[in-house]
Amino acid sequence: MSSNKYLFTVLGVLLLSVSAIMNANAQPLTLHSLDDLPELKRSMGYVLVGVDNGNTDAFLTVRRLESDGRTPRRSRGKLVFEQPAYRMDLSGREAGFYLLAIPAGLYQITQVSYPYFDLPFRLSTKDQKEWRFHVEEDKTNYIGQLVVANERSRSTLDVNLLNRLATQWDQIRTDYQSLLAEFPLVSGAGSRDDFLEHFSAE
Amino acid sequence: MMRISLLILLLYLPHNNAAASPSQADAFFVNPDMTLATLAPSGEQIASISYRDGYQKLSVTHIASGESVTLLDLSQMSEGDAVVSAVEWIDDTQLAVQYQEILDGVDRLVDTKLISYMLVVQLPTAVQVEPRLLRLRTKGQLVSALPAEDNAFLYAKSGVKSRIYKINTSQLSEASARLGKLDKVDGGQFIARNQVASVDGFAIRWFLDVDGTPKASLTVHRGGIVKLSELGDDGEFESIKEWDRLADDDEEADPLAEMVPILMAAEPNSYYCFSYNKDERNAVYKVDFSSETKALVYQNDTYEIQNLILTPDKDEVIGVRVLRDGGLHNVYLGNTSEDSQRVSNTQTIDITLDRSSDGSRLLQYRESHSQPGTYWLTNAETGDEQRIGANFPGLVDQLDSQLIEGSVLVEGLEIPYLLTLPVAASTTAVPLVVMPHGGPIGVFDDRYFDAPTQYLAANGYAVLRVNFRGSSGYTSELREAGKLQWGKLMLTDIHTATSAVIARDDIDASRVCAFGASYGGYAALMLAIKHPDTYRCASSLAGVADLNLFIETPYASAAQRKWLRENVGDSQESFDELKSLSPVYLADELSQPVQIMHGADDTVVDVEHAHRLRLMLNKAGKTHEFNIFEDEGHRLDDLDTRQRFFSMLTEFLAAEIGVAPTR
Repeated sequence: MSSNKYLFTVLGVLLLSVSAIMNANAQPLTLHSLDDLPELKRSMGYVLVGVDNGNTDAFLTVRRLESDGRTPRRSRGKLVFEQPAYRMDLSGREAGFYLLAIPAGLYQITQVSYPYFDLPFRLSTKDQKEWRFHVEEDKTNYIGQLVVANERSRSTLDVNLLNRLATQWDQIRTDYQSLLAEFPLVSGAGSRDDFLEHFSAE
Repeated sequence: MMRISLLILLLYLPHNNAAASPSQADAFFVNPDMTLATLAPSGEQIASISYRDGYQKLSVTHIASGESVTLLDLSQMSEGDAVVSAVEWIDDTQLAVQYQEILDGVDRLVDTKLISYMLVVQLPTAVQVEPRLLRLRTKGQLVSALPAEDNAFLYAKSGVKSRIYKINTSQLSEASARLGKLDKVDGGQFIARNQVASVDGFAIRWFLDVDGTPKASLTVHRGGIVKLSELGDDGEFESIKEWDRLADDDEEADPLAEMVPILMAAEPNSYYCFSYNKDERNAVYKVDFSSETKALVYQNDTYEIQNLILTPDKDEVIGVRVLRDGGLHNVYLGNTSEDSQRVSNTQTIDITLDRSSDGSRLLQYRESHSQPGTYWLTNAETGDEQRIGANFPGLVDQLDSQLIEGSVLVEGLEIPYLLTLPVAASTTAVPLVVMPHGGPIGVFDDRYFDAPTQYLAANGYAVLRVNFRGSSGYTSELREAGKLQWGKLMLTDIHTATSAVIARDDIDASRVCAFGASYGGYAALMLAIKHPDTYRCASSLAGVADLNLFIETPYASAAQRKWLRENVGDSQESFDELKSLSPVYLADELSQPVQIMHGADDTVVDVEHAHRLRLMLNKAGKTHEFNIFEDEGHRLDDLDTRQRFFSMLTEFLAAEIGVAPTR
């Protein structure tokens, strides 16, 4: 084994170990249906997310960001993450809408994991704006449709968080009418999106 | 009597079925019949590829007798995605065929495995009545079929050192044969005695002159270094350009950083190149590596370019092979001009694709705005011509629209346009469809056959296609002027051209509708919003409706995001301005009927755009027609869906602006 290969192997083992430790310490973010929805505590909001996990065992690592509204704070150009890390497990979830009850703030999905036998399965989304979402206190924050393609390649995953507010509007309005009456729907997109505001305006 | 009637009926039916009415969508949006043709060295036979039920079929036709034999039928060889990507004559009895098949991954893995190998197809003879298939088992690539030499071709093997060998077909084994332990693979011909050229590095491409003599190579070396080397007088290859593919490409430091040579051009040190960093391979440049200058030869916004089509002398590009509708299709570029940024100013493509070795017979391709591509065999001595095939046989000599070219001035910039008039325009004022192209930057509408344009003309509509600012094909000034002008001067250009055209006597100014796809859909909607007195309706296919949503698309790569910010706008800095130019937020100003169509699986312009517009139109109480095509992406790849879409479009147009007599 050449020295370079050895170095990569050691680094790989170390990185996997760090990743494994982080995932092991991550707090679970539980996906709820409307029937088992917990009450909101102070300074919390609901997240409404459409999930189509393609019958995979995918899970996400989510971190809250230090921020001013939808603008994340940066230190030396890097995002500043708060503790702890969260793990959102999608395995065994049927396609549909789910709710989370979490503290208000700006969040970053930092990693998408999709275990499949011995293939590399981590997709880093650490500083990607399209993997960010915003939670407003006492509101139902629609953050998008999370689509994990069942079919994948050996080296890439097909995973997207799509802003499908209008596409899913009819279903959201029908299925979550009572929730939205108490906790109004807002856009939880990571970047500014005025559509709902315009559409809802009288 | 009964038998005779039945015979007449049987003779009549196929003919009637084959000649679909040229105003129906199923006559225009189909796979082409003949997609590739090549002439045997003797000029007595033609090999061609046609599509049957979505599969390629390789046939050879004897010109004098007209007899045709099927050599390969891919529907019999593969259930999956198989294509013949190249066909070349080795001599009058044998063809070299590059066969590619994509094998599906296992279970949920979409990792596809591309199998590519060369076949030698030996034509049937009096003794051997079926074609004989030989297969090269050594991994490598055909570099020249050496048509001037019988039974031999040049084949390259790549490794730490790459070599070209001359291979004799007589020593190859049958494709279906199982080799025994004592059998030599490919007849044991990959030996020093048969070596023709060698170069250090893993050769990914060889460049040969028309006689089949190697002249240059493109090689990959340790550390990601790629070298373009030319053969010197001392018989050694000398590097004329190097790239470090592991370093970040910096176009400012090296203007040729993204160029990948594909073909040696006639001029010294000049090559036709693809752009390395394009997410989709859709542009061809001509690059002079001694002066480090490049010029755009061809670009399209829709199809990935797979290969170049060359003149018989193999030194000029006359077309590109593109991946379209799941198959490989030829697009010919027309006559090239001195300034390769400029589109050809001729209205007809008339090019020689191939010629017999003595030059007495020519294989030619012709295409014009109202005549889809046809293949001709010409006797160079007598001038006699014989049509031997067509892209769309059902449309040949069936379309007789007229093409008029013009231009308008917008803020000092000349904006060219193409107006297609249906037959009825000679006797009456006809309704007009304004059809802005997609892209929109770096593409343009050309003068040659365009199926949507001719379909609309065949249905009685005049069609206006404007090469608004941002379009390529004319001047770099026109192209550059398109930056950050999506909802601004691009629309002014289109509307100014429309205003000029509707002043004509043969256009009914009260019956104008805008239709387009992608950016064209956006433009159609915006034109109807801004100028409702001119545009009586708008139809948008896969159109952008919310500019900020489009710029923030999660489907874009980092390079695409940068491009979007520089060319469409920055949603961080210009959010409100972009919003003010978005149909979604202008829906209450849309007073004319609208048709919204979108593929549910569109990953270029997400289907969310269509739904946002639908909701806002509903809220504003505006009339609209809304259709989502399930399992379809941005381009409506399925031909049945495309036919359905165009039928729906003409129904919408007929309802909103009427129709003109088609004959």
